[in-house]
Amino acid sequence: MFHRVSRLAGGLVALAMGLGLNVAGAQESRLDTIVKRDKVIVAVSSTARPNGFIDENGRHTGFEVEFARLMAKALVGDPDKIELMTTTVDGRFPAVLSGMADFGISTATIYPDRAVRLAFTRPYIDSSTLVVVPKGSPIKTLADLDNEGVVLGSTNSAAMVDRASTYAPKAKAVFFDTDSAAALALKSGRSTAWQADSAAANFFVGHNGDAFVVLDGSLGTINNNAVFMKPGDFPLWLALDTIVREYVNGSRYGEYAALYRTWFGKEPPPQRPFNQN
Amino acid sequence: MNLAFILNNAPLLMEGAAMTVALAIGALLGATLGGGVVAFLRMSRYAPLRHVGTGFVEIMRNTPILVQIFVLYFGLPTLGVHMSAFTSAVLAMSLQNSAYIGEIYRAGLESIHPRQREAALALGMMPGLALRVILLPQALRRVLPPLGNQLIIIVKDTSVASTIAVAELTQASKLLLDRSAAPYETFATVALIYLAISAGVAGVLKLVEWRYPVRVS
Repeated sequence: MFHRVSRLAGGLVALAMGLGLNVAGAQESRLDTIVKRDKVIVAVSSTARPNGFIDENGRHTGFEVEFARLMAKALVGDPDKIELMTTTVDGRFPAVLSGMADFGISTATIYPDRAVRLAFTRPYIDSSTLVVVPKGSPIKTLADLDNEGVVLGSTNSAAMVDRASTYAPKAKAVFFDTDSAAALALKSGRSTAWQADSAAANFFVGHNGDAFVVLDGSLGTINNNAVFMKPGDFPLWLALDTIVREYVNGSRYGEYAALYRTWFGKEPPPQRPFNQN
Repeated sequence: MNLAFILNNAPLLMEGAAMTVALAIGALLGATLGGGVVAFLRMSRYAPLRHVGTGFVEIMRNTPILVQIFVLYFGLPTLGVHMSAFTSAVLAMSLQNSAYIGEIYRAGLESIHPRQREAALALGMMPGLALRVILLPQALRRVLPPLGNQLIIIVKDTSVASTIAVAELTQASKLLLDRSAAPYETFATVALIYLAISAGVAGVLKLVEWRYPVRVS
């Protein structure tokens, strides 16, 4: 009897250990997968100049795409060991939540609603929303947007929709799938103003300065754009967050600053908000 | 699956669904009527009209609906023609699907044996009367199944209208997804709504098929 009980107990212990090992195995961090795979898979945009787009030579590039390469360099030692998964605005979150991409860098603003279902690192860039209008437009200030004759275009993102209803409730708001389509709407006269992420707005006017201008001031608050990933994987989140911190204001700030200058033509925010000197 | 999330956001999705139904009704009417014109052109005894019909069908069938919508919405304003996003979407879907439906009508009419027409004419009927009382009733019964498929395709094609800022169901779901980062709840609900709309169209077609069955002698 005693032997039976002890054998049963031993079996249960072995089963529990086995289950425990299996559970441990099932909880392997995606960070280990990335290291073993020796390549990162990142969800990025291809229709949002200057963050992610296909250039004249057919190369997928942009500030965020190049920042993704820097992340790959930190994670697997080589900026080219990366697979860029192109997504639209509406495809970027499913790409990481489904496990198709390791993480995403795609003008994702940190919002409390989103944080319930997504894990964000600290921000890699601040963003604000600017408004672009044709030169000679009767819209001279942000306050002029709130008029019935105004057609305010933008991408179909929660932030843009909220801003349109908050700052220009009398205007007609039209929402497109991509920044490219929203810019085309402005160019073709479908909209009379375009609210866009500051990077996209400045880049557009930089290339179309003879016909369009950016209105003074920003629409709404300054936002934080961050790397996003599927929640529940602390090792991966910690690694990504640490790497972002090191680029934005740590040991690799120089590389980040160079990238920032390349795409935005100006210095990034200083490495630290304070300086011992 | 978070049911509370779905219920809380039901009004936004229902607004989008209403716009989807409006788009679908407009495109269904436009395409079924346009299909008749296309079939008439394709079966005309006059060669120039046949060529016009053939050219239209080939252009519409062989270019993507997205391109057609963009041409109408973004391209026409450069020529001074301004249509609303809704009108552009309905027109693009009507034009493309009238090409397909025209071919379906033509196939149905040509499936009726020519001797039936000859017999009707021999009995003294005028060609128009023969078409109306002998050929069309039979042909329309025969085209109902493929027509039903095409009408369901139109319902699903309405999702493309979101690309030109029509606030239909897909655009509403994209906004909800962007706000909440909840793809599974959002897409599952949207799929069910599309299924319900398509099932409604299919149900009506089934009723018509049941009421007007193909009679085989």
